[in-house]
Amino acid sequence: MMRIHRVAVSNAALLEIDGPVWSVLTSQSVALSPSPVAMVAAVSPLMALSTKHGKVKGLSARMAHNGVTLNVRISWEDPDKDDRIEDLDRFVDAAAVLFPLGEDANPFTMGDDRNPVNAWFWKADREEPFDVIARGYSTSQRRPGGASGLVVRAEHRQGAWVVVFQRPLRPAPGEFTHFEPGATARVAFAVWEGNNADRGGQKAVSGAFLDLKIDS
Amino acid sequence: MSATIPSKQQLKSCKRQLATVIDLNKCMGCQTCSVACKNIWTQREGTEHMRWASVATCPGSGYPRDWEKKGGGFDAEGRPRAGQLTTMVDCGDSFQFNHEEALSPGASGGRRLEPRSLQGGAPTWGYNWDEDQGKGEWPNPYFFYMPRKCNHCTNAPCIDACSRNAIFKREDGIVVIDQDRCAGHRHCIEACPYSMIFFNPVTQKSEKCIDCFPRVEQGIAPACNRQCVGRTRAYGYLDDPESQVHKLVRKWKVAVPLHPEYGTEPNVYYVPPMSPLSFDGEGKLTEAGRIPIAALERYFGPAVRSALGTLVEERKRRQRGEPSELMDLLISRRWSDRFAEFTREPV
Ligand code: SF4
Ligand code: SF4
Repeated sequence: MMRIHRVAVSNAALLEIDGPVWSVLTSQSVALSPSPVAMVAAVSPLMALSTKHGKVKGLSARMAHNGVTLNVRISWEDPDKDDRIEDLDRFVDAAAVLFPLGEDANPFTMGDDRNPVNAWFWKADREEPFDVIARGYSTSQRRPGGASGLVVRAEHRQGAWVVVFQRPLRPAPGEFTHFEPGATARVAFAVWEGNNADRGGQKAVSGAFLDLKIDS
Repeated sequence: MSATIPSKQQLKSCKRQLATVIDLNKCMGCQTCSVACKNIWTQREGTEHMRWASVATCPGSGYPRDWEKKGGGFDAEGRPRAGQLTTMVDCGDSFQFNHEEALSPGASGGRRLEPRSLQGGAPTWGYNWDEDQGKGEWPNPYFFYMPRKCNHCTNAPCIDACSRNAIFKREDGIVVIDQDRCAGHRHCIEACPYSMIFFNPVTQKSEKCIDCFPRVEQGIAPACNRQCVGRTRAYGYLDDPESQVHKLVRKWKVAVPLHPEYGTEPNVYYVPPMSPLSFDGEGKLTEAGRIPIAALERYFGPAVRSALGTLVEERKRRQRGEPSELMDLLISRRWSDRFAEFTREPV
């Protein structure tokens, strides 16, 4: 079970990529593998042919809350920084943290009509992340991060990306995941390698939802 | 599959099908069609490289460059084929000239007017880079012009490929991309074997020919068809027995789709070029056409043989002074005959 640590630091301090709070928390490594595109062949039979996507093999995650915001800091190796669409055949790096909104949501299919999922989605060419709601593959809607108070900081250095997501534990009403200190939650991760033409369903994913324990 | 997600079959269905016929014997490569389209649809930021309507010399690399080698469409068993994306240079670059440097009165002397690639440096490729080169040896060189736009395919692989279900056929058969749903993933560009979808790097969405549907809804033919000075083009519903498209495609069967082997059932049809006659070694005119029939079959499939046969036969009938409905159709003495009910003025 992964853990969301309770820390006594400000939101601003948690948003600092190299803030001292992050160095004391244990990092948890998460294996990634190519997304099983055959599962969504009905929506994109062409994408289902892909064999080259999902190059990133793993990430390391640290998670913390201060009673007000949930913070997820992930980093992964990526020798090329793709933060700009340089030509019509180029894609940018991206990452997402996915939470179920419905009990039986399947992360591979982005949920279904009874079991929505909520994703925090960062793209390397944007300052503002998206707060995504999806009810099955092809249905995802990108809402501006401002809708839920989601913010992100990202930096590429020494051949790796470091990204910190921050969002209130209890955002304004809307289809956003709520988190309660002392309770449990579930999470999944995805990373897109722009240089590998990863985008949309072509990504590296962590698999089934991982259990989270939120410190009280 | 969830009930709220439309099936690909639903997205591909339509009540009727609009179609365009282009007579390659009359096309003179003047580019009025491509300019008409550009003026209306692709003058926005991020669309500079796009030509939803284009004309290129055949044989040649085409527009976008080498589109026939980029895959997409379906294999013989109907399975999707992987495809490739186009680049800015493939799409003709959109090189700019150093006007300031070369032409302003205060400019330092000796700078010539030079094109600059969007990628920096001198351009290495551009729209119509290989114009009029064609193929064949003197005294029998040959080429013809190939005007293109989205084929608004009946079995459109772009619709299948879109993982956002953003692409669909309207009731009139026009294929469009919902810009609100498009997320710029570009699977459609890989899927279209005609490379007729273009990525807009500013909006980060994919765009394509919309067959001028806002005009069509008002009874005005698409600009490429309407503005064609060569009167090469017909437009209308394929199932309307009175329309020229129906008569040329269904009745006379002289208009055939480009690359039918891609399996997409295109709805732009071409009256194939009847070659000029070739010379023999002594410089005498022969009965053989200059464009090898195999070359035409490579573009239009086996149906091109009977289409050409009918054209030759009907032309001979006319030369004998007999009536020919087909020759009258192709001449189209009144421009309005070509566009069925889409003859209203644009202004
Ligand atoms: S020509 Fe290409 S873009 Fe147009 S409908 Fe066919 S597959 Fe789609
Ligand atoms: S406007 Fe007509 S004649 Fe001119 S290039 Fe286009 S199709 Fe050919």
